[in-house]
Amino acid sequence: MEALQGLAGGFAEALTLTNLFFVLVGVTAGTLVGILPGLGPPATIAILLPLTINLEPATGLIMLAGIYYGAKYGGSTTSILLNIPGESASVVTCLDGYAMARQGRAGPALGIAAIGSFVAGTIGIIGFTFLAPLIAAVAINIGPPEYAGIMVFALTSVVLLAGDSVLKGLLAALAGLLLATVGIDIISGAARYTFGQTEFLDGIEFIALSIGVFAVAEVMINVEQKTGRPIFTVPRRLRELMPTRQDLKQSRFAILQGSVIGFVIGALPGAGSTVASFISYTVQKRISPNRESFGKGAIDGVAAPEAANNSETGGALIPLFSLGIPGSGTTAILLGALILYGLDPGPLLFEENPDIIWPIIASMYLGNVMLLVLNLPLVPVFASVLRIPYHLLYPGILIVCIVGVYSVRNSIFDVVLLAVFGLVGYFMRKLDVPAAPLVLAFVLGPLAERAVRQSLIISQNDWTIFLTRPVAAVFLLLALLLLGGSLVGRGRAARKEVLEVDT
Amino acid sequence: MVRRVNADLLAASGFAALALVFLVGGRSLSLTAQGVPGPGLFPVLIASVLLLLSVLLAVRALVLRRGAERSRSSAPSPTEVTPTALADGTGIAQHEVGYAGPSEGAASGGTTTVTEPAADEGSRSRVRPLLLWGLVLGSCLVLPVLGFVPAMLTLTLTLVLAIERRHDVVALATAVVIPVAAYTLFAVLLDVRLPLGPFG
Repeated sequence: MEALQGLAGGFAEALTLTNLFFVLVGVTAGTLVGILPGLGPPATIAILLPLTINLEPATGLIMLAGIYYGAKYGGSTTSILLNIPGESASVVTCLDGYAMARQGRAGPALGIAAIGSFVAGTIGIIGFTFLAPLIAAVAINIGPPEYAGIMVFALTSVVLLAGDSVLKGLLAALAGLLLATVGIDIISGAARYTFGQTEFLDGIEFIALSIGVFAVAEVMINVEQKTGRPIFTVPRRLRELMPTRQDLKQSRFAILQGSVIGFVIGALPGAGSTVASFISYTVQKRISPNRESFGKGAIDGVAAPEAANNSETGGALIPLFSLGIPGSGTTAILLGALILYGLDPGPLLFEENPDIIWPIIASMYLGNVMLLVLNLPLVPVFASVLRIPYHLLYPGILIVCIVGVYSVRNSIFDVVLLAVFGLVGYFMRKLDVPAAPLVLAFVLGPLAERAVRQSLIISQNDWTIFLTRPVAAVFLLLALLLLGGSLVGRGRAARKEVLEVDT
Repeated sequence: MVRRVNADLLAASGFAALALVFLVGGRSLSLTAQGVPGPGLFPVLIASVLLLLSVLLAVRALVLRRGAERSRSSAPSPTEVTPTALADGTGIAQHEVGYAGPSEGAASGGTTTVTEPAADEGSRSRVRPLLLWGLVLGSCLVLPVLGFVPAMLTLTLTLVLAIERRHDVVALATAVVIPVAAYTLFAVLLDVRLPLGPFG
């Protein structure tokens, strides 16, 4: 009841012309900058934060909220159109989104991403509004063993992403895990695999790896052919540039499921939108009636991770606002912004500053709506980018990738790594080794390792901690079932293949 | 089939090499520290499993090759058109169209959904991507020396003239405009500090 009242008041405050204007500016700026790879939501907010300093706290934070949503949506645009994952959460969208673009269905993919994001974002905010105290109480009890369980489950799900070759998918994932160990070990302080290079102390930059393996390798593959024409056919009719009723119907459950999963995982500090989008994708692949086309252009394979990515926003606000704990890079910056405005995030934030917080939450609804209103009509425009003849398009792609990677750490080393991983990605494609498991394991690996080692420190090297903590045990069991189920299924298929070859 | 076996063997060697690098490079890391896993445990464990599975992949490839050789005498067109045969791996659309030559039984029918210009199959080049790559690497290396705009201009112009072999106005204009536009957008508007080289 109190929440509803607060929200109503928040809307009353937020629906001023000034605030609406700034939400619009925020969403637009956020989308445009978010489209540029390497500049994900954290960087976008950091760049645009100075613009908001001179505004009233509520208005400034409202604009930041708009930027946040815009940046998230912008990231999925390049993933779908150009196979450039601008940030780790966009990697999963690349899988089916880009496949759809290659089939001339970039428009529906972008459209479903926008719609799914809108629905999920709304659900996330509703969840935040009414469930924040409850979730905060639960989130506090999630510790390293539970995280370890979740991460192991997520890593095992990589098996499902391996398409038709589980073994090669596993190999790629293990390679990703190994590459992620480069750098300073956070628990012991030891420098691992730096080979004397100071640039490696911070580890391999994720963006250099992911953009290299996905986008640069893609360009190299496409350049094998003559590039005089657009490499994909893009439909001319407007109707074909938007999702059809059938698309919407197929994506319904995916969006719902993605929203819930994204929200729950977003509420866990540190889990982040990558894990959310990835788990949602895996779940959808398991339950979808057209799971055979996952990886080849399944629309619900775009809807689910996009939904999870956006509702994670609502979830991530819970630890931020109720506990003062930023759950991800973006929320860390939001935390900074809150402090800058003189607010004190924590359990008392709602009680001490209801007149600022509720308008912010209300404006997130507005930002969400604005995002849909702004981007849905632009879908045909974005999709038309693919009509540009490829020889004019790909130099631009390469340069944007180079700048994007350079801008993360102002490091030429990273750019050279980009090139190296581009070559690696190219050879992986030629050898039919899937790239997504490598990239995702690279992100999840350190989280899993840290969680496991922290748990063992807490339990003083007692490995049964993973079994005695119920949530951890449940996730580990799920991981085992997943692995077992997948291997049995593949085992049958592989046996069939060997038998056929032998006869 | 042969192509797939060779691909698998190459992939297995690549992964095995990576595993060995990490196993050898991690010799100095301690496996345990104060009773709990130390910095070396996970990398060594993972590298060991990676090595093992690489060997498994290689063995599987060789077994399949032997099986294929046996069946070649009996069936002219291999029926192993299972999804695993010409896998497109993950959802990043793979280009099986160009490689599924007649000897492999045109198997990609179900898996590839790319609407590519079919006539160009013959003009697939292995050299162009590697040339492109060399150019990209080169321009990245000269980036701090020449500065952003000159280095990127070199990249785009060389791409257009040497790789694409186009001399039309649109292509050349695009080659010039892109680096300049990128610089304006990133360095000027977004305040990203790009290398300026001797002009900075």
